[in-house]
Amino acid sequence: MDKYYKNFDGDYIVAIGTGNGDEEITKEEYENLLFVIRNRPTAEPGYEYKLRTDLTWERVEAPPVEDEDATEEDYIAALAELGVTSYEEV
Amino acid sequence: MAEYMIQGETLTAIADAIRGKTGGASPIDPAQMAAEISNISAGGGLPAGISAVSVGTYTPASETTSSAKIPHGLGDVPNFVVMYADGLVTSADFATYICAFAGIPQLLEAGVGVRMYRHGSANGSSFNNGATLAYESAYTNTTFMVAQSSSYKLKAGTTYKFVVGKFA
Repeated sequence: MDKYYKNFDGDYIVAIGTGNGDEEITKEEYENLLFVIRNRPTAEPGYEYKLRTDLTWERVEAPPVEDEDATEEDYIAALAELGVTSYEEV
Repeated sequence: MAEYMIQGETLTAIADAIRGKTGGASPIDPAQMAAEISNISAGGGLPAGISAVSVGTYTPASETTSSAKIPHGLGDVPNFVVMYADGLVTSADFATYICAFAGIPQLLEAGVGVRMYRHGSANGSSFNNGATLAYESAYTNTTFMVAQSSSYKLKAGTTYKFVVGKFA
């Protein structure tokens, strides 16, 4: 039988899941949280909503994206994966 | 001991069910039926070469804007991870890199929607030393880590299924 969990980062619920996690919850709480998460507010560009532990949404500025792993080699590899082997910049 | 009557066809049906599982053809003494049933493997065992697996799900409340450390229930440091989500069909939706620790070759799991990279590999992702150490430290007996970039991230509200495991 699945065990249900919620995961925290300070005063925020960052995720829910099964398998393992920070705090075990009931299936009912899991399903309620899933409903809340899937009905989160839509954020304007540059912002995001974080779920507080009291189940209210807090609008915050979206942090800059970490993009340390994206290199030109990665993009070339991704294109090759899609079958694109020759191209020119425009 | 109380005695009960049972129809012969009921006993035959039970014996047939046992023979169907064991492949046997001989008559079975009712007194031996319990032992016969106990000897039937329940199935669902691990494939040869796999010593442990654990499955789970992870549903982020917000889009990940940094790497996510995902809890797993293996109880050991995994040496393989597969992650999948239903309905993600475009490359941008593939969500993430799974950054495996040293020893896992670079894999491109295009068919299942996840890119798996060995961190720090010459022809894979180019994590700096700090990131490499972070990923290594996140691979524990309770967590693994997935990365994100501007193109790949965990989507809020999407339930990602994963399996982590250990080769024998």
